[in-house]
Amino acid sequence: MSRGIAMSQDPGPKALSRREFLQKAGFGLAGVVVGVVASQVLPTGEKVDKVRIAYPGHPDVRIANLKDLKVGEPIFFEYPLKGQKNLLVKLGRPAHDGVGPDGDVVAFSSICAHMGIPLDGAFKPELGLIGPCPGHLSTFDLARSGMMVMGKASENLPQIALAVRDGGEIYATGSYGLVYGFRDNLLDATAPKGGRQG
Amino acid sequence: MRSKNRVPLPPRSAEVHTMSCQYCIVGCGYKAYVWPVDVPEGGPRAGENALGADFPVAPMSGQWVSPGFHTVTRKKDGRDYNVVIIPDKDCVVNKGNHSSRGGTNAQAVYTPYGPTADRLTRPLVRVGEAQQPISWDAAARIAAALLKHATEKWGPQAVGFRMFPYEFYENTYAITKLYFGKIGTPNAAFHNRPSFGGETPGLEDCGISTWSIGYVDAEKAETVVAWGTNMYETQDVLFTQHVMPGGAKLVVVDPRRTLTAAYAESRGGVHLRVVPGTDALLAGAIARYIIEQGWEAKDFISRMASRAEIDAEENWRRKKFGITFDEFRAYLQKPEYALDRAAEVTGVPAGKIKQAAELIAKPGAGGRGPRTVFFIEKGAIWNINYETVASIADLALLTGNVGEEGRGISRAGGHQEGFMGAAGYPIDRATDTDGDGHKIPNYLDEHIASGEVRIQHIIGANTMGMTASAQWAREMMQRRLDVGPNPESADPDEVIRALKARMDQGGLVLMVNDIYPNLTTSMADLVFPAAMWGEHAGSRWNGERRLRTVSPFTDPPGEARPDWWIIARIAKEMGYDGFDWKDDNDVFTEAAEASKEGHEDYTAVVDLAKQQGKTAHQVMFDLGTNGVQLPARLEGGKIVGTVRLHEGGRFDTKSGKAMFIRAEWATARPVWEALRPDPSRGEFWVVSGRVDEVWQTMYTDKRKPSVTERWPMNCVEIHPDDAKALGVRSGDLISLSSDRVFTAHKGVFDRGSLTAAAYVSDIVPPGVVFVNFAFPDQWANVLVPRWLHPVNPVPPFKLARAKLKKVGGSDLAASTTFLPRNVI
Repeated sequence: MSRGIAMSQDPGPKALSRREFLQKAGFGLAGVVVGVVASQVLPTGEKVDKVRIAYPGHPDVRIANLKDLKVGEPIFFEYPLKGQKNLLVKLGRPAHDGVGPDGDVVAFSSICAHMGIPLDGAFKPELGLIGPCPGHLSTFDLARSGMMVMGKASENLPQIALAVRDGGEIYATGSYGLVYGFRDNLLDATAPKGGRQG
Repeated sequence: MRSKNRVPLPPRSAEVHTMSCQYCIVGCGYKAYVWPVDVPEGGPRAGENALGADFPVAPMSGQWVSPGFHTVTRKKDGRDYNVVIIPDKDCVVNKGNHSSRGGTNAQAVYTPYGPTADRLTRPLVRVGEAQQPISWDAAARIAAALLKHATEKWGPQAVGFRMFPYEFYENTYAITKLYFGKIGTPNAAFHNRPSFGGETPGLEDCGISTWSIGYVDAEKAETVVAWGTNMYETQDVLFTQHVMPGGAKLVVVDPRRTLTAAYAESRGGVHLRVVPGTDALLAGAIARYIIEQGWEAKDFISRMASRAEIDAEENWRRKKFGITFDEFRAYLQKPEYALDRAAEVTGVPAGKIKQAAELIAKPGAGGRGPRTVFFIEKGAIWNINYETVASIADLALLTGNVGEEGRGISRAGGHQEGFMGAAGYPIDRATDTDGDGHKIPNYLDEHIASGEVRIQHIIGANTMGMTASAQWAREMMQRRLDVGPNPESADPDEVIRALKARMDQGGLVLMVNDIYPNLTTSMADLVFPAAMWGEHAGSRWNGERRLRTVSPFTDPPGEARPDWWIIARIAKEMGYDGFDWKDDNDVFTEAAEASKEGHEDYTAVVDLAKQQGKTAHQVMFDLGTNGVQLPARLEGGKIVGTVRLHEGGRFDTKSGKAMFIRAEWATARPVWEALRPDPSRGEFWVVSGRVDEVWQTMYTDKRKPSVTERWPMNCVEIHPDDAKALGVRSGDLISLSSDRVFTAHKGVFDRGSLTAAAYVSDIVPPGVVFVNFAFPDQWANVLVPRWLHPVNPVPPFKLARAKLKKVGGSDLAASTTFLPRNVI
């Protein structure tokens, strides 16, 4: 049974976006292309006029629509490759890099970043946390970039970059953090069949 | 923190080095793969990479390479190298499992390209309040001249030193050879306590060695007692790889409802949420209940020492405190040990005391109590030390849980153990006593305050933040450093002149060995840059006496050198013989002699080396990550280890028999009453300790973004009711302050204060708060009493008190997580 503690559940001040946080923390943004522009022309010549975050080599894949999401109920999908299972969820609290009108729609790898045990079924909607992992009890805060709350992993839970386009269509556009088992998020497995997997 | 999307796999041509982790006592096995950056990385098929793995790898494979395992460094040859440090799936300790600390071993490796670039690389001397680089020749000459001056003019006690016992036989042997063997000063301390007092004499006086079990015993136990040790966070892999899979029911004794405690209760165990400092009473109450039920291990007890055998002991503490079962039972009849009385004082309900007793002692079908392993650690040790540790040892003896598979008592441990004394502490020169005429190791800080110590050498310890009553100690030492002249230039003759004059005028000179600049090095007259883990061959053992030698995989940066080399350089300059070692192996080989016939005997390694025409270190490298459990012996030309001690009922006393130790609450209670907070003054218990992701004073972790993002500052765990009364939410800043830091000087109280961010959580009960014990610059130990136990001189680090006051908000709640840390 997870414990919800009244004081610490309080979302408090608005969550910083990752970009705001990174800038405040003084980290450089080299290697991460974050575009917040009215329109831009990509190297392929494609003109894009929506907010777009670009990750080299990553496909754009439609996952769901905002209308499909109920607070605290994850939808699972594989991205970018087979064997890279993720959850998409509307947290009901502001989140780093959250999309959607409430800034609370996020997606993360659902494979524990410690030793690869699946975290399906471990999402705790009242906390916005996933875990404890059945293996070694790790827990990750999905409103704080998959930061480990307590546990054994050496990195945050890998996060899926999302974009919301016309009509509330949610696209996966990139990943950051190496998915367990892989040496490169884009190598050594094939693309999943179809756009979305349960 | 955004980590990378890819890692390079080690190619088949990569060098491979074996080692145990640089961090905690568990000493998981690791392999370091090293290859130049201009050599193509390994491919994803098993035949294409050094791991022999097909990528992507399966869950629990122990073959995945997390970004945390990889770094790029530059070695002395001027080339850049990839380094991958991966938990070893073939090590019996961890089998590829790891904590987040060991899982970021690679992030601690020196690299000019990242946050670890600010290593100390040159000897430094303080000139006009700024530290200047000098040569090793100059540094050694200055140090030697000052040490000689101090010893010749005022005697060995004018020299004080603090040393680490954790970082390798090779170093600790050299340090003790100089400071005990040659100089012979009684003014000595360890990194974590201001004297040379042991941590567990209450256990050793029973005749039980502090480290007597094998990790296999935790797997075979039916009950595991975690007394004052938050095992999930502080001995992670021992807990997840040995305790959890073994399925034992847990008895967790801790004022905090940690994840370890929550886990225990979710799996048929019990959490005894003890009022800080009352552990000796709790242990006695459990013992009394066991005896009342007739559950004591009568066979085992019948083989324990008699009154006559106790009286024949030579150790003064055994003579004074050793008791028979009848004497033990007699003092447990005192009214404070009755269930309901004990429950009132300790805060542990009578029902839970009974439940713990059943789990430890209720006989099963075979007529014996459950196989129980007791782990004790700093919650018991940094308590009212002697009585608390002894009271738990008495429980192990009462229930016959020593020296068999699945039955034992051991420290759970902090760091790995690398202490090899070339000479013993000169107790005959100590002047501190227990109040009854028995000499005890000196309280170093008080001997500095008195002016007796004129030159202090600190090796691998951030003393100015970490010693007991650290605010008092730091200010006291700064006043003594400010006495007399400072050197006016870096000319060694001028430095020697000025610092001799400072000592002559009653001042203090400070020399420090470390790997990074920190608060303590910033105050030093001389700083010596040390080599760290992975940069030289170093040997030490884990919590089951498993000795490994780190096979060095990189070079110390700049002119950093192993501590043994630094000591030897100074010692030779002073004219001492016996410091002519050429390399790490020379020291390791010589030090084996000091281990002979003890529980840590590794002379077999040196013997086998001679037989095989190898170095002793090469023999250790051949043993890889599994090493050997000490004591080691040779059988049929192979090294064989020892899984556990005290098998067959042999104990470390004169009679060879175990004894109970008198550990009365009546003795501890006056101390507890003097230390405890006064709620009417708004005081809280301030318990300090480790948090999983952070290692000690953060000398590597400050330089790991994954850690500093999780812990941007020290946090104070505070119960929701207390938070509400103070008007704080998680992330708000609180000042913890005391003008009642207890001291051994009647009527004298020290002051101490730190700030921390609130972490509102019901892990702590009302009236108790918890902070990280070693968070740099927000030092918890400013609140720790300046008082050492009179029988065993160590401070009660866990028994501090302070008033709390909100001092404002912060941006932390928006940037880091404050979710509960005990979700089960």
